[in-house]
Amino acid sequence: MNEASQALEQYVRDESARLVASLTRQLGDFDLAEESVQDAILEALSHWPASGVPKEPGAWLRVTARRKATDRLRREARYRDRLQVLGKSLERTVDPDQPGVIDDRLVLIFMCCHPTLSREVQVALTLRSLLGVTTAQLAKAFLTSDATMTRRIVRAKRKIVEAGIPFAIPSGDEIRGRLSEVLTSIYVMFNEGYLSAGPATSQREELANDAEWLAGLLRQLLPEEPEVTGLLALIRLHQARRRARFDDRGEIVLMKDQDRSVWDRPAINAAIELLTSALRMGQPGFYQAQAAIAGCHAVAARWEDTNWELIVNLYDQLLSIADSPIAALNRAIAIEYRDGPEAGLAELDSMGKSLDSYHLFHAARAQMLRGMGRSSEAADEDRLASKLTSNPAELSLLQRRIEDETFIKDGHGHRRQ
Amino acid sequence: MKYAMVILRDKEEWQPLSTEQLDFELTAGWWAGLKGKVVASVRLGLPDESTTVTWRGDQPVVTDGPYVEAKETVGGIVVVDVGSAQEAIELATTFPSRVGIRIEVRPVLEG
Repeated sequence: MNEASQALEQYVRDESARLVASLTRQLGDFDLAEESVQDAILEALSHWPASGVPKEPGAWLRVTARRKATDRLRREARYRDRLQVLGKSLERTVDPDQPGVIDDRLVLIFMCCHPTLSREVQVALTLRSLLGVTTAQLAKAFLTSDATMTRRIVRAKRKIVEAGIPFAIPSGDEIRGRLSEVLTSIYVMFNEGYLSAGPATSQREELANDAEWLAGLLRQLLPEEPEVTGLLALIRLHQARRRARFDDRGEIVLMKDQDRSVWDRPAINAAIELLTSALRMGQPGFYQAQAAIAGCHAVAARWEDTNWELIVNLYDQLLSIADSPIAALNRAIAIEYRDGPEAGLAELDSMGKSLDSYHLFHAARAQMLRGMGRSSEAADEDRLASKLTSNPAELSLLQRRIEDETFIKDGHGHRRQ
Repeated sequence: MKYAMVILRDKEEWQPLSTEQLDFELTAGWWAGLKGKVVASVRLGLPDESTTVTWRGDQPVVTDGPYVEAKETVGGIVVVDVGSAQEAIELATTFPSRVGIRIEVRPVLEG
């Protein structure tokens, strides 16, 4: 990938959500805003490789998108009333430290999660407008063709326009009806930022920070919803440990080996207090369960102090809320730490084939086999795992492990334990 | 079978847990134990936010605050669906906050 398209990808993902959201607010027309931003991206694609990346790519895209919107409005002869609006308040930004201000992007999420749209389309639309995920990537994620995904998105956008779905946060019961999709969107956004699945970068801190900020806003709106508080606590617990996750060379450091002195203790304590207040409400939920598990790790002073018994119980709770093979995998790993590698392996092997194409399943199996001294089988599993991931940091971790196993097998003794 | 755990808090005796970590781990343990059992859950605001309605003869009397004579106030109610009263009682025994707390486990009448 050359410099121009890398920079473009970065800015598309960072800026397009903001751009679409603020244009939607100004024009009152989501469809027009989205099209204009897409136009601006197309223009960038055709200009940047030749002319070089502009000094402020974000500003360039903003100006271009605004120009494209003007062009479209003019073409469609709707400009008289709307051009005026466009001229005003264009540089309006949101001050994250000012309480009570609702970010346009949060409003955009609520709009995309309108109940007239199917759940799949809700998530697709949100990912597209919030993360700049392309239609082709969406098609891949939803296991369908580009053409089908394009049709779905076009239909969804038409529906938004025809149904006159307002660019506003709904009130009362309606907000609760859309809450689960909104939480999913912010969670996906955070995960994408925290550990990107793509090959370009391992960490996308800004996206993760934005997701934290949106979750915080949502909590201002709904302080009494334990799941909203749970999501915010979950994000903050991860953020507080962020600095320990990668070493100087950009390689992943496993939780076990992390330097806990660089964890942000005050942030952890605040998140734990927040989470405890949510748990006390006695309303089990997915994000609270995830946060409680992250909390168990965060409060342990040393790896050896981890309360695995509690973690296994929390995984049981999590699985009763949302039966996910990945949660089951993590539960098996917790059992390994509580009862030993034999018990962990037995759990993994009882799960069947559901995770055969998931790299962390094989990485976990490798770790358990290694714990039992079966190092050549462990290396085979690590090799399988590295074939299944494209994340550079994870790949290099797996590569190191494979080298270790080969080293041991060759009879040169332990190099790193 | 459904049981209500009525959580009562003594105004004078109640104390928060000694450390945040202990508070979190006990709360999380209790919360994990609620797995698949919670039917409804109500957590009430502080007693001083309440308004009390009584009657003098036929006349209702409305006063700000809780009933002054009461030593305890209701903090919340969690309704669980469990196999036996014993199970509901066991859940109550794991409640995280302890000093100055009393939990009444009572059957929910249905039908």
